[in-house]
This record gives sequence, C-alpha cells and structure tokens, in this order.
Amino acid sequence: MNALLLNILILVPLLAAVVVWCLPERRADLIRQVSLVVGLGVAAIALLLWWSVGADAGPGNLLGETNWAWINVAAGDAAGLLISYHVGLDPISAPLLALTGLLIPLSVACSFSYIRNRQREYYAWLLALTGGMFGVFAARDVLLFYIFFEFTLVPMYFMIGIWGGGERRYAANKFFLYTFVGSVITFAGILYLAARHAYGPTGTGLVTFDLEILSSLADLTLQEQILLFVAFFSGFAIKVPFFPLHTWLPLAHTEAPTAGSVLLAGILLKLGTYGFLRFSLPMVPDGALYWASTMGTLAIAGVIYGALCCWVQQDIKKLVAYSSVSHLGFCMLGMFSMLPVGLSGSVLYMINHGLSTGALFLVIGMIYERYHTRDINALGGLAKRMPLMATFLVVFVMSSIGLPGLNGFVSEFTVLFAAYNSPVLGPWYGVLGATGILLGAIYMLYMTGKVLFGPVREPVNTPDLEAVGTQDLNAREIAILTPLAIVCVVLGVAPRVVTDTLDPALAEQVMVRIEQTEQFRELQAGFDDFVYVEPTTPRLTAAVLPETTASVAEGGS
Amino acid sequence: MLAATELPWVTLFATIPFWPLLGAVIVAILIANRQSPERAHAPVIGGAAISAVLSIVMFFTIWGQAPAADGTHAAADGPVPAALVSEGDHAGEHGDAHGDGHAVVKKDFSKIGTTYTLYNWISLGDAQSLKGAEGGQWLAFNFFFDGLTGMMMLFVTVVSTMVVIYASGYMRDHHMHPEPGYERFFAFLGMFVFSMAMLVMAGNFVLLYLGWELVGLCSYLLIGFYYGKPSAADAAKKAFIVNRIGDFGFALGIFALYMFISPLAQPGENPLDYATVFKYADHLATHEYAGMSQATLVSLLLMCGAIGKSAQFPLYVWLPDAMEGPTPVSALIHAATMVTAGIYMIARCGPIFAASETALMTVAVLGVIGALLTAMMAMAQYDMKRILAYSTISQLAYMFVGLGVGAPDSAVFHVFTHAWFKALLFLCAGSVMHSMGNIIDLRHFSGLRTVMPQTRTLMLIGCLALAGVFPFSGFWSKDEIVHAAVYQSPVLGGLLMLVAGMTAYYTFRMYFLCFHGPTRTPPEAGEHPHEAPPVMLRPLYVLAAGAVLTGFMGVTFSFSLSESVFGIFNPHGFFHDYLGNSTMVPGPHHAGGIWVAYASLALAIGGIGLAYVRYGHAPQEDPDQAALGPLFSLMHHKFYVDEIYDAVFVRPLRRLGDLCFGVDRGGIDGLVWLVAAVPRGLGGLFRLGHRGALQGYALSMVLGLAVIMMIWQLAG
Repeated sequence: MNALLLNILILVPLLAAVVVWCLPERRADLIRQVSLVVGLGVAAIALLLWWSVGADAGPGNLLGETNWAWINVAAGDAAGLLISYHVGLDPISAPLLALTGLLIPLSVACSFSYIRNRQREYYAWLLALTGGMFGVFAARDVLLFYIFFEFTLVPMYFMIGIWGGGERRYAANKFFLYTFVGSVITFAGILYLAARHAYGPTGTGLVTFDLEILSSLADLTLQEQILLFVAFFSGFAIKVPFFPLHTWLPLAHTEAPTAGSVLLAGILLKLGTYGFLRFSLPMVPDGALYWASTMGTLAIAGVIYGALCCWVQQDIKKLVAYSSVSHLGFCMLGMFSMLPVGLSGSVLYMINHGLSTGALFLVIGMIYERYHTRDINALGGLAKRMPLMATFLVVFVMSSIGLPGLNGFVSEFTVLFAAYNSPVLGPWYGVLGATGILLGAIYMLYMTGKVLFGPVREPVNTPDLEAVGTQDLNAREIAILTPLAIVCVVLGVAPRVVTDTLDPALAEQVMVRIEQTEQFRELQAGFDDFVYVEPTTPRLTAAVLPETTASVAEGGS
Repeated sequence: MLAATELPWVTLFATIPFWPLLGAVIVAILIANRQSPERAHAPVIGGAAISAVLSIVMFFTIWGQAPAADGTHAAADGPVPAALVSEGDHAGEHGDAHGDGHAVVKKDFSKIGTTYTLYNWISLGDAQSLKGAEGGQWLAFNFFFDGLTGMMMLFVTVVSTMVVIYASGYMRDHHMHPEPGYERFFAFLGMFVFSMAMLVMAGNFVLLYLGWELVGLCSYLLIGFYYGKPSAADAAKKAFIVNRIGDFGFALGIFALYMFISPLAQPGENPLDYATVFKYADHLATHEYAGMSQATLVSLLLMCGAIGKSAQFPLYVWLPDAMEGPTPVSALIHAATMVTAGIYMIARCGPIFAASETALMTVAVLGVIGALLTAMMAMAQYDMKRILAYSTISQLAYMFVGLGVGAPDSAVFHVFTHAWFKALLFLCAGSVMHSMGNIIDLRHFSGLRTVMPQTRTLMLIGCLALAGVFPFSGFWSKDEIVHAAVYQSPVLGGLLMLVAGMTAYYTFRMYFLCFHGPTRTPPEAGEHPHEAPPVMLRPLYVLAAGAVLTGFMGVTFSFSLSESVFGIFNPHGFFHDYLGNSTMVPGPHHAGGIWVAYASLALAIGGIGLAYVRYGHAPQEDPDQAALGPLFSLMHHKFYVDEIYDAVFVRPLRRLGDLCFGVDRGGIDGLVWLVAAVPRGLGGLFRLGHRGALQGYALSMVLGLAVIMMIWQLAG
C-alpha cells in the first residue's frame, strides 16, 4: 500500500503534467482545478507517508519500498551493470518529502492570480517539477537520485525563463548552467565510486548504484575520499547554495515567479544539503572530516556575509534570497559539526527554512501583486492597509529570525549549540555563527520596519486589485498562509514530531559512519582534553566552615 | 524530578502562564471574527487575574514548604536554611578594610526547589534520548518552583493585572470609545504576561531564553504599537536589536554551560535544568577554561543577556526610546516587569555568579556606572516618561550593584518594591498625559494639583518611594543595597549614596514642575482638563498601597538603638527568610551600620529640599539649565551616546554590508563570469582552425598523420 502511494507520488504528477499540457489554454479554470486537486492529493499522501514512517524504517526496511531492476546489463551474472528504480522512505527523507507535499498545493494556489498567461504550460511544468522533487527524496539508487536531481532543473528553468521578471532569461540561463556544471562533476564522482566498488580489491565486478552499498564502502583511501568529497561538493554546494558559490541564487530567486521562488527556496536548495547528508557524510566520512573545518569556516562566512548583503538590499525579494545564503550557512554548520544534535538540527533547519522562507516569498508575492513593486523604499506602513498580511509577515519574520516558540529557533539553537560543542568545529564556530542571530534580526526587522511600519507609502496607481480583489488578503491567500503559520508554531513547540524518528535514523545511517573513523576518535579525545583542563589553582576549598557565617554577622558592627 | 520535596498543587501552578495566553488567543479569535473591540479587554484581564490569584496561592504554598531554618541562627542573621554552609573567606585577597569578607555561602541545591516537567521539548541527541529511553537528557519544557519564583510571580502577575485594568480605561478617548487597535493591544498584553511568566517559571536555561525572547517580541510589538509613527517603529526595532546583542552573549553562555555540565550530568538529569546546573556549580568554580574559571566565563556571558534585558550600561539605550509605546506598556514592560528579567536571571544563577569574584565585580561596576550616568541624564529631561525611564535604568543599576556585592536578596527586594512604585509613577504620568491631550513635556503644563488632585496624591506617594524616604518601600530596599555596597567598598557605597540624592532631586524636580506653580494646561488638553476616570484610578490605589507597604516585608521589629532604624525597624525580615528557600546565594549579612540608613535618608530629604528650592514654584525658565550651562545640554542630549553608537557601530556595519554586496556583484560573481568565459574563449580559439578553408584542413591532416607516424616509429 505504501509502495503504491509512494509511486503515485512520483508518477501521478508527471502524468498530470502531460494531461494538463494537453488541455486547451482557454480552459484555464480546469487547468487550475486539476493542478490543485493533484497538489492537494500529493500533499495528503506525502504527509500520510511521513506520518507512517517509524523510527525503525531504514536500509532493508524502507517504507513503501519498490526495487525494480531498470537497466540490468548482465542479469544473473555478478559482473555487469545494474541501475534500479529503487525508491523508499526512511526517517531522513520522509520529513523533506512531507515538506515538499505541503508546499505543492500552496504553490499551485498562489499562482492562480500571479500567472496570467500560458497557464497550460506553467502548470504542466509545475507538476513535472513536483514529480521530480518527490523522486529525489524517495530515490535509493544513486543514479536514480542523480536523474531526478538533474530533472528538476528543467521545469524550473522554464518557470524562471518564461514567467519570471525583467531579467528572466539571464537568470534562468545562469541558474541552469551554474548548477548543471557543478552536478556534472558530482556525476563523475558517483561513477568513480560505483566503479571503485565494482572493480576495487573487494569488488565483485557488478557496477551497482545502490545507496546502501555505496554508503558502506570501507576500503576507500583518505586521498580518494578527499577528492570524492570535492566532487560531491561541486554539485551539492552550488545547489545549497554554499558561499562563495551562491551568486546564481539571488538572481534566480528574484526573477522567478512566486511559486518558483517558494519551491526553489523551500525544496530545491534542500537537494544540496540533503545530498551532503546522504552522500558526502556517509560515503566518504574521512573526506568529510578532512574538509569539515573548511566547510565550517565557509558556512560561517556565508552566514555573516549573506546577512550583511541582506541588509543593504532595496528589493524585498532579493533580501529574502540573500537570507537563504545566510540560513543555509547555518544548516551546513550544523551538519559539519558532526554531532547527532547538529545533524538533527540541520535537517530541522532544512524543513524550517523551507517553511519560513517559502512563506516569506508567498507574502512578498502577495504584496507584489497589489503594488507591482518590491522596492523597500517605495513601500511603507502597509500594516495599516493590510493588517492581516502584516500579522502573517511578522509571524514568518519571527520564525525566520529564530524566535523561541516558533520553528526557526529549535533548529537555529541546536545547530549553533552543536557547532559550539563539536569536537570537529568547536566553540569559536559557535561564537561566530551566533552573530548570525543578531544580524538576522537586524536585516529582517529593517525590512519589516520599512515595509510594514511608518507612514503609509504606496506607489502611484496602486493598489491594483484587479487580480486579487481585496486590499488585504483574500480568502484564498489566507488559506495559503494559515497552514504554514500553524506548522511553524507546531514545530516550534513540539519539534519531536520530526526528531523522534529522525534522530535514531541519523545516528544509525550517518553518525555511525563518522564515529567509525580514526580521525573522529582522535578529534573527540582532543576535544575532551581541551574542555576539561584541570585547574591550575584551586579556587574554592571544599572545607565546610559553618562558623564563618555566624562570625561574619558579628564582625560588621 | 530532582525535587527533594514535591510542591503541593504543582500541576495547578504550572498552568499560571497559560491563562493570559488563553486570554490573548480569545482576543485574537475575536479579531479574526471582526467582533466589536468594546469588550476585548475582558479575556485578558480575566486571564491575568486568574494568574494573579494562583500566584498568590503559590506564594503561600511555597512559603509553607520552605525548609526549616537552622535553629542555631537567629532570624536577625538572615535566612540560613539548614542546607547552608559557608566557605572560604576571600576578604584578605581584596584588601577589604572591614575584613568581614565575602564568604561564599553554599547551599545544598538538591534540596531546594521543585522541578515540574510538562514534556520533553528538544532532543539533545545523546545516546539515551536517541533511543527514546528513560533517563535520556533533554531540553525539557519544565518549570522550577522556589522562593524566588514565588516572590517574582507574586508581583509580576498582580502588577500586570493592575496595569491591564488601567489600560482598559487608558486606551480610550475622552468619550470612552476604544482607540483604534484596542483589541490588538490587549492581545499583545496577554501575550506579554504569558511571556514574563514563562521567563520567571522556566525550569531550565533554554526555556528561560524562550521567555526572554518572547518578552522581547512583545516589547517590539507594544513599543511599536503606534506603528504609523516612524519614531515608534524605530524604537521598537531598536529595542529588539539591542536586546539581541545581549541575547547573543546569553546564548553563548548557555552553550558554554552545556559544554561544562553535560559530561557531569547523570542519566536522567537534563544538563541545562537549573537543578542540574546548580548541583554541579562547584565544578564550574574549580575548573578553568580559556584562561579563566568556567564560572567566570559562563557568568560574564549570561550577564550580557542581563545587561540587554535590564537596560544596563552599555546597552541601556533602548529603554528611554521605548517610551514611544502607550503608557501602560511603559509601566508594564519597562518599569515593573520585563526589565527585571536580567536581575532575576542573575539572582537565579546565584551559584554560578557567586563562584566568580570577577563576574560579581563586573556586575557591580557596570551597575554603578549606569546608575550615575542615567541619574545625570534624568536630571536634564523634560519628558515625564523619559525622566521615569532614566530613573528605571538607574534603579535597575542599583539592583545590579546589589547583585554584585553579594546581596541578591536585597536586589530582589528592590525589584519587588520598585515594581509597585514605578508602575504607579508611570501610570500616574499616563493619567497626566491622558488628561493633557497626549502632551507630556513638563514645559507645557504646571500646577496640576488643582486639576488632578487624586493623581497628585498618588504621584507623591510614588515619588517619595522612588526618592527613598522613610517609611516608603523604596527606602528599605534601596538602603539595603547601599548598606551592602558600603561594606564591600566605600567608593561604591559613596557613589550609590550620591545617586540616591540625585534621584530624590530629579524625581521631585519632575513632581514640582508638574503639580506646583500656577495652573497651566496646553491647548491640546481642551477647555476642561479632567481627573482620570475611576477605572484608571482604582488600580493605582492598589499599586500605591504596594508602594507604601511592601517595604515592611523586609523588616522585623525589635528594639535596638544601634541596630535598628529609629530604634525599632530591623532590616532583614520576612522577605529575606522567604527567599532563603531559593537558588540565590547571598553573601553574609552585615549587621549594624545603621548610619547608612540615616545618611541615605538625609541625602534623599536633602535632594527633595533642593528640588523644592529650585523648582517649588515650577519656574518657566529652568534654573539648572542656566546654572549648569553646557553640562546641562550634554546631559539633556544623553551625552550623545546614541549618536556615538550610530557612528561607531551601526554605520560601519552597514558600510560593511555595502562592501559585501559590492564584492558579491563585482568580485565573486566576477569570478563566475571569468570561469564562464573560459569555455567561450577556448571555443573562440578552436574556431580559428575551423574557418572552412579546405587547404587548412588538408594541412593539419597531413601534419597529424606525420606526428602519428613519428610516434609509431619511435615506439616501435
């Protein structure tokens, strides 16, 4: 049953994309309805699947597993090539799949008023993208993962290139080429790894791309691991986007239509971090440890640099786009702390960033539809005009800057906490990373203050209410934002709905590989010495001197 | 979990924070359903009142549960529960002339307080909790109950309830119609009371941080309540960001605590729970990290948070601007409760701070700097609310000094009394403002004693309490701090006494300018300025009663001319005994030194007298301005601290942002362009050989063949 549902999740949107493509453009209503129904359907299925993932789901016991030998060059023989359509969920991928499911219907619904031309193609691409994103998270075969990973580029390329803003062509090209070039190198790394497994000293001659097998290679040399890490890095780091490989992102985000930005920030960036978590860490743990401090440094550079860039933006959307650079820096920082709490915080960060940044893009889209500008200086005092919008925006801003009680705090806190206490990184990483909580508040409140507060400022001839009908949010928009706000609160108060199943899976699949390495054990031992330095001079004596209290009382008079 | 004694009705008390939240949620639902705002105050007043009643019950329950005091110590020696031991007289190291020292008093913290866990909030990823096993280490959602909790909750909820009732009258116009945003205001107030209660009741450092940040959010929303005013929007932003600077240090303090405590914590002990941390606080004192004792590091970092939240030097700048919010907000957040959070936190972390002389000294020194600086600023302001704001910072600085000189119980005592009289003063100022048509500048009105006789009386009570005049509450608590400071260092004590005189002076300068002299009202006040309506006056009487009476909670009566004020009032009473059952670590109480009380009383009266001489007739021209000249102007402009911060921190940081963005477009993206240019350039290079000239192709084919032949030959 679960297997059927998981396959529906991947294949039905692709099928629906074809159906929508074939519908006539003048039946725009029908196109939207079909898309929304499919979106709601996959959302329900994705959430259901995530809900049914138990902590014990893992290699050998995947939820909804389908393993079908897709390309099998030498059937029956050990030597040969085997590429499988192998999908299944474990507690690491399931929450991200659920996040995707949650964002899909919202993206569809937010496009109803935003997209006015070529709707048939638009919704077809959107649905195709949906199938691809589910596929990435469900894939258990590395090559299948790679295929879906690359496939997601195509619909997004068209979504930016056709329905984007003024610089859409350039943005789309840059987005496609930049990420594609990086992932080709990753592909080379994957091929090497598979070949190394097949033809190495213990190899059987069977070239397989099975995730579990490739995640447990034991005989890679340090040199190989270091280079493989770099190969994986080039694809995933660009996708993250990891400082300093981020320059495609502000452009793509700004130019993309609202739904494109939401899915780009919410899901596609997570493909990079998910890739690091699924590939780099367990496959080449020694390589990851070798590069960990570099990764940590770059992550912090991204946190601070991204935040500073945010502060000087004039375009709200670009500001939020740069905030992704900063936020994903946190996410990577947690991951490369190589502590269970850091990994868990990192995955939570992926989810929370998807929720809060996705929501921010949605709200900004709603403002844009009314005012046709995203210029911070052209807008002001909108709280007076759109109190409901202002309420939502403040909630999501607070979620984004890590206000305790909302989702962002849990991940931000655990990530920094892990960096600080990590034997691989250490306190200074925590200290520098924590400046991000300050800078985050500065740029976000700067934006909020400008746009929502102060005297009312609206561009001439606005608001344009032709598409949306009401000055403040309409019912459809409220319905889009409310679920996100609710999830933000729920994950802030009860993050364990995610982490209870996630943490054991991370421990068994990722941490265990890192802890096996000699490097980690040395670092751990060194860290313990570093923290627990014996005192040079005893500060307090343990002697009990009860008479002191009484005598002191006398002494004063 | 670790509680030695289970507190009765603890489950009921654990609901205290959630009642005001419920009220706020109900208001939010009313807003969502577009209901009339007329009754929007009711759910929040109800919620706050339920909390207040439960807090009062809790107060007495905790009292009943307190561990019995050791019979060998007389009550006059202060609270010394059985679990107390004292060790290490460090007086000699500091050359303290009195020689009676700062013995660090130790308590057995496993016997103090009750931890009540609602649920486990965040996993810290240790092996047990990963398996979901019992005995895992978590960040729990738990509450901690001890004497300090009981005392803090008592005034937080009661004062808040009074303020909310007052606000239901204040947030209306002259015809008693609700102002725009009335319902939003009450939703925020409810949320604020919830946040503050969470902060006080939290049972671990991260939940404390939650309350800490939530009060920050509420202050952001409430200061920016009139968000259409740019100054209000800016003040709100400033408050949040300056607080975040402190929180940055606070968060690092929590991380460091975990680093030091987690290896010690046994299975089942959450490493960041108060109960666990204080149990192992000794370890922090005896172990070093980064060249200082772990206790010093942790307490200095935690102190950063307290400096931000309690508006201490150098992060006090947000508080005066916070007066942009409606006056009840000023009373609630910026006088009575929110700013006390920092004091509360340091008092709560007694075991950590007491283990570090350096940290305590830093706290005391920052306190005295802040007290002096802001008292000077207060002397040269005309905005009533601003004067009160600076006096708040100054009084909080007193509390800081109290904490720093090892008298946290006195500091909390001052927190307690200050909450009542400062809320009273702010709300009186609010009544004046309400009546004067939102004019609060003292230069625009005077002689209001005839216009608002009740407000005048109430304000006088508040002013006397703030000035520290016997027998008002401020006298007792302030005197205790000065007393402790004098014994620690005469310089510190002397400066505090000076500030006491200044406080009396500027408080009564404000009072005389407002209520004395000829009756003048600004045109905005209309034809007939009026006394505040009963709904606003009644809560003020409750607060006034607090301002008069709460001081006696810290006093016992005994006849002794040498050790008691006026021969019968002996400092250290019920209040201190009550707080004995808490995690605070007070230093030894110095009996005697009653001259301090007389001296500070004399200074207070002297200050009032001087104020009367100079301002008793509410002169149009400010005599101080003429007398002090440029110094007055400097004080009036707050020593240009805001401008200095702007020039030194804000603008360079912003320029760094510009620089980063420039580098991003020019440098980093430029490199990307460069890399992208490589294939294009190579393509251009190869294109040179592909121009369609047949001879060229033939030539290169022949040459290529020749090369291959040559290689073949050589290899063969």
